[in-house]
Amino acid sequence: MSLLNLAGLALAAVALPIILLYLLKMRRTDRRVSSLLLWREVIADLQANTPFQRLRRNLLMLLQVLAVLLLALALARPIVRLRETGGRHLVLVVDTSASMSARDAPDGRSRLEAARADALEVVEDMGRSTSWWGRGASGDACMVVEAAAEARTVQGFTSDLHALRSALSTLGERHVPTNLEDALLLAMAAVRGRGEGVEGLVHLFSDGASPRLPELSGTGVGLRYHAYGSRADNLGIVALKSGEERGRTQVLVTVANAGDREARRFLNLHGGGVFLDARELSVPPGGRASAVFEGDWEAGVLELSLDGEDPLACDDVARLVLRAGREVRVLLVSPGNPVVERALAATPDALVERVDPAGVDALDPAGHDLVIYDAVVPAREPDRPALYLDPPAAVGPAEPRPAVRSPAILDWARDHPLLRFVDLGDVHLAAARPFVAGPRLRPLVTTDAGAVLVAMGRGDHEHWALGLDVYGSDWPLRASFPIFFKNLVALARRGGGDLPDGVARTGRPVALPAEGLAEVEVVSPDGTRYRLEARDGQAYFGATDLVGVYRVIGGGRTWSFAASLLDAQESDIRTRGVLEAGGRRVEAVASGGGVNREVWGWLVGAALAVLAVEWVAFHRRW
Amino acid sequence: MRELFDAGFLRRLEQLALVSRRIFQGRLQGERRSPRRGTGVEFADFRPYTQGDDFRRIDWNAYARLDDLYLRLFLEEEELAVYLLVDASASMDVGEPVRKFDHARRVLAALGYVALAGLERVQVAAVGRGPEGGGRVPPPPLPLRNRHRFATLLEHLGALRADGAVDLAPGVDAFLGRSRRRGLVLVASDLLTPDPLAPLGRLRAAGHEPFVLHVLAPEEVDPAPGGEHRLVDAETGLALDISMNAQAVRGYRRRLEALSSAVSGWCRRHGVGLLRTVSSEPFEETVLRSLRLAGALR
Repeated sequence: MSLLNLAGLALAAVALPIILLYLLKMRRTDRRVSSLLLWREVIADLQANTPFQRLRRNLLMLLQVLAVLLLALALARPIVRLRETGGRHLVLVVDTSASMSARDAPDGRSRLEAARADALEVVEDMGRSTSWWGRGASGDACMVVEAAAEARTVQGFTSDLHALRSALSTLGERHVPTNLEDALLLAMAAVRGRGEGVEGLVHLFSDGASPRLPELSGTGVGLRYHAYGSRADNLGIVALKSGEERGRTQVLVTVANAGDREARRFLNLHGGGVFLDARELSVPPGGRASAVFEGDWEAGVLELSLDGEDPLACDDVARLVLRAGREVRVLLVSPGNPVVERALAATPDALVERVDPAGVDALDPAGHDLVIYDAVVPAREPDRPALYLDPPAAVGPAEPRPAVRSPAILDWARDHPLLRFVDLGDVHLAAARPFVAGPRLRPLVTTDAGAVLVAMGRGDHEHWALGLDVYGSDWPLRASFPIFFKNLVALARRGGGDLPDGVARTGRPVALPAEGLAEVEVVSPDGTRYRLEARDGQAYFGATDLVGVYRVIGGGRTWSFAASLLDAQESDIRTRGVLEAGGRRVEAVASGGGVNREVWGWLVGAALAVLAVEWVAFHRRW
Repeated sequence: MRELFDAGFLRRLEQLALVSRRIFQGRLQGERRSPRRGTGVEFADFRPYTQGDDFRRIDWNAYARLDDLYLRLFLEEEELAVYLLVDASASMDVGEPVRKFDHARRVLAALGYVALAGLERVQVAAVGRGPEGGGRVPPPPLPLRNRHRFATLLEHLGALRADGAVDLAPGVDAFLGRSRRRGLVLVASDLLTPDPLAPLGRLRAAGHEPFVLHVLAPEEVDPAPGGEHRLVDAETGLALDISMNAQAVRGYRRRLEALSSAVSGWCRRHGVGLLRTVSSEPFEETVLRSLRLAGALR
């Protein structure tokens, strides 16, 4: 038994004055009578007939003190552990997210280890309650759900204790964000799948680091929340970005402090195992601090790490992969276009070679990363990224319509890498030739007459067509024009898709470029190997469960990417004692198996019963 | 005095006197055998002649008609000594809303008024400590006659104070020592004394005719149960702690019933009039009941 409100025991102090009053004898009211003659005989009679008279008075005191003690105990809100009764469907939802690997559970264990042990106890309890009647005869069935970035059924409903034990033992740390909602929905669906009216009980082993929980009331599924964790003083890297400035690489790091005291820690930068730089950060409680590293570093893995120790280690390190800078060779097929040429010239790393469109069909784009056709359409599409400016004829699926006058730009795809930071709100068009809408065209810039910039998928890269003459607009005068060409060059360098910024986050799938490969192999930081099938020049890897460097092997080439946690919510390892489940508050119970029940109601009832007995004892003789 | 016998009391007393006079007289005088019977002028009854009777009392007219000798009896003219003996111990100074002492004095005053109106000789006497004993009970005043002296009777009663620890027996002994004429003694007491029957027996033995008014307070008849109490004796000041539970109350009632039945049994055996009254009941009721009771008894 444990108490939720120790302060309630203070009420027991009331027992002292009661005892004191009895010691000082009870205060009697004076009553004047004519004579004690008859009363003396009565007293003598009473004392002669009730030798327990004295005891009775003490009994009254004892009963009163007992009532006070019971009430004090009730006020302290005791909870008792009761064994589960059979015939229920238990779902053990174990949170294995990053914050659960914080090592602040008793005995130096991680939260997950403690949670696993408690979950195991629930299973053993189930075994004990069933062993009286034989295995599984009580009808208890249990399933195990892992709640990480995604919910996963580790073990379906079974009464087989051995299967449950081994399912629990497979649960390991995963450095990923939490998603309790999906796990609970899965648990509820599983309980409901067992039949109508089935009563389920979900044991949630977590630290509560999840934004919201699904509505549970009325579903016949109870929720018992076992909370873990005792510390909050954790510092973690929550954001990491890289960029280039004047030819130098810049790395922006943000560190968050979940604790309630200011933290001073060193942030170290290593490259290729060699110390490169460090910054001292002072992070206010509950706040963030950022640092910028700038340097001329070689390609490879840059590792940022926080000095010192805190409960959660996996967010103290973040890595990014610096790719080797690569010049982009641009083939501009144009009779001469000063605006475009100037915009390309302003783009670093772009090596522009202009050829006359006269021999366009004879051109071999090999050796170039990007081809720009200015008002000309080749007989054969190049097998690399290409931009068609004002194409006179259909380009693949993009078929230009007759020119329209003064179309107004309505919208553009801001999420497309080509239009990143490109604002077309102030651009006016004198004329344009919008493209006929088609299923294989993705409109990027839409006017009231149709799409004037479209994207076409071409194998592992994209082609784009711009249905207007830039000279027939004021776009070249706007800042968005050179940005557009910078984006174009950057896209070409990536080959149409790569790891953005070289930073991957755990728990999220990564698209791996696998041009010309049927499959690639990924080696995770713990040595596990995954074989991935590549399609359309890309392979998707989803098992980014651990923080660290992943090696990708394919086509005799090895390269790597790094996954980091970078999740402010997971770095905030404060334990939530209360969860909100559809507007209902779910309070954490003391960890462990069995059912925790508050018993104050019984205690108050017992106190009332004692008072009733006291009343009877006071007024009656037995 | 004034608050005890206020105008309302006196008015009610007048009405009471009209209703009660006949009964009282019948009870107290008309059937009394006296050596001097016949000296009065008011005819009372006939009685068969027996040897030794005065010839002069024979009703010759009746002899002529009935051929039997009858005596004509006339009401006794002699005055009767009526003593109003009130227990003036502190134990009588108890009772809510009316003290037993006040109730007893009112009832005695009413009976005294009736007696005065019947031209009896009425004297107030108290069982209590007199000034010589440190108490406030005055010495017995002179006997009164005639209803016009009723104010004086009230003064005598009003001058009494319930005070001190006095047993009934020595008080009665003192009374016997003072009163030479035998008569009717109306004793008003709560009889809460170790042996209440002995003094009554002594009154009888001395030739008096006692009439007992057993006055009790309502809380004595029916004590309220519940609570822890310290009972304080009104006379001695001694205290007794008691849990006034149902059991104690039951025991007390049993004791009181035993006392009452002992008194009533004694009275029945010795032909002594007894009236048990509670101080909370209206005194007129008590008076009428007592008079009727007395009248019915003989």
